[in-house]
Amino acid sequence: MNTKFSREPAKAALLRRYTIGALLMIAPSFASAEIAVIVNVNNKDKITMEDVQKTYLAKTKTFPGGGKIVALDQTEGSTSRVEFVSKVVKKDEAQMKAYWSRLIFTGKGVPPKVMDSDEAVLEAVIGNPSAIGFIEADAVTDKVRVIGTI
Amino acid sequence: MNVKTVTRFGLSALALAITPAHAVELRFDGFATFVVGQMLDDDELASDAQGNLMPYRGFDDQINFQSNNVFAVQARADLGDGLTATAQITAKGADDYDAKFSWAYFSYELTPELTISAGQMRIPYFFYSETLDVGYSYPFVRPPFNTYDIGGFDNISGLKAEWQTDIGNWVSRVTMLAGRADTTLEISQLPDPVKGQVSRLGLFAWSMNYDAFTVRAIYSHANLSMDLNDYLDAVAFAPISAVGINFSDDARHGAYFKNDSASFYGVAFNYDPGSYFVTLESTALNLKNGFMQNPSEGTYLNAGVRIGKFTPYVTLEHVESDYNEHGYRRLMAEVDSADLPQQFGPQLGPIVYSKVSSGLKQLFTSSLKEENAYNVGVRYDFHPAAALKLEYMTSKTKTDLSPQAIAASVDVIF
Repeated sequence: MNTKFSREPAKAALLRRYTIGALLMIAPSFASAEIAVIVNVNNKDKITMEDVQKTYLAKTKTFPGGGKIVALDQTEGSTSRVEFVSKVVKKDEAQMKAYWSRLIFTGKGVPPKVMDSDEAVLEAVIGNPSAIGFIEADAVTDKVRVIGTI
Repeated sequence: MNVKTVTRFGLSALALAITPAHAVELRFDGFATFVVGQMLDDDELASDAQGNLMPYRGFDDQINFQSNNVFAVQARADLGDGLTATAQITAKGADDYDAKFSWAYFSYELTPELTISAGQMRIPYFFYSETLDVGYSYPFVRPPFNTYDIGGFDNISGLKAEWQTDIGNWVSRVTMLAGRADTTLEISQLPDPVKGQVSRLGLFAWSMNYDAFTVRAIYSHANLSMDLNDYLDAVAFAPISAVGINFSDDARHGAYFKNDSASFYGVAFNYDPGSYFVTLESTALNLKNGFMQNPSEGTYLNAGVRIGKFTPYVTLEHVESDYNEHGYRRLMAEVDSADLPQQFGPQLGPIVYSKVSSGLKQLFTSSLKEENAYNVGVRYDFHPAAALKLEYMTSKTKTDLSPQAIAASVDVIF
């Protein structure tokens, strides 16, 4: 009996330690950057975050208005990409890679073109009416249309 | 396709690629898998009709470094206006790294939803068929072994149409395929491998995806030919013809394939919300004639949990097959009418008869399968482009054997 009672507080303490540990692990994502999904200013389509998710999983290749999508990606491991993949595509980068390997090696899709910075994405979206991309929200200018921030 | 014809194919593709005014975008991707594995106890190895031990999952009691290794490069040329040419060159350890073109095809995107392809490509029989060689794309070391065994008919020369469209919130993908395929079957007692053909193959597959949920159904029909007469004469029926029984062509046909109907169907469910996944797939192959199982059915359940870079998983698999009773009876009818007692006398006759009939039955039932397989493993994504997997596999067979093996693989994409 005694041992049973004495174990409970120890368990609770352990649980508390785990909870704090888990919170500490989660904490960096609270501090992380907001990501804006952007398209060309001339693109007037109503595009939801679900449409964006489907685009980056090759489940859709056209905008709701029918125009062909040119999706832009960023370098693996970059802040923008890590955030975008987790918040919008709802996968981590390893899962994203395994998912795309299935599309590449079955000929079902070609991955979005990889740009090496937010600036490069911004530039490309300004110059291409079919483009869609993601950048850190701070980097947004009025030369692009923001379809959502997350 | 051997490398020489393919080089020619490649060159003509290149010539085509150079002609248009469009800038040609070339893209190279590759993958490699290195597998090492060993059986834990070779007393549990099954043997074939001739008494040769058959490896378990490609492993025996020696550490095997080579036979499951794969190295492949894929080149894709975007010729503009929706036209692409794709070739995949694969070198497998089992073939002594003899590089082969596993795929070489042109695709034309008629609309963003409809793509037509022509050339040599993978037959999408199973949920993981099209990336069977790409270990990085799936959780296990190898997809469920017995279910995914289709006798070497992996690739097809033909035409494919793929139609991807939205139905409400679902993404629908319909694949239609027509063409022909070849394989070879190594028989240890014959100097040359036996050639097999699948002709007039038609396939219809439909997959529906909603968020994390995917369901897929497939049906395929083909005519199968595999002339096993040399094997029947030299090996299988040799002891029977030695006692003076020579089967008619009609009865022999029960033991091989000559333009015979072969159908395949399957369903698969996959739920993958990210932190865990579950896949259930069930398939059946129905062959007319032949010694082989008829029909043969395979079902597996694979589930895993993603914890950071680690993905522990389990796979349970059940396969079973029935023997070709009709083919066996057709041959036995001729054994019955041979009247062995009259030929060998009342004492020896019945003994010869029972030897012949049991030998014949053995031919038809030796490749019968009934097996439950249990696999546990873990995938470790130790690098952004590489995964390490460890798997323990064991089975319970109809004959009460319990083979066990462990395997490790490193899967890379680049």
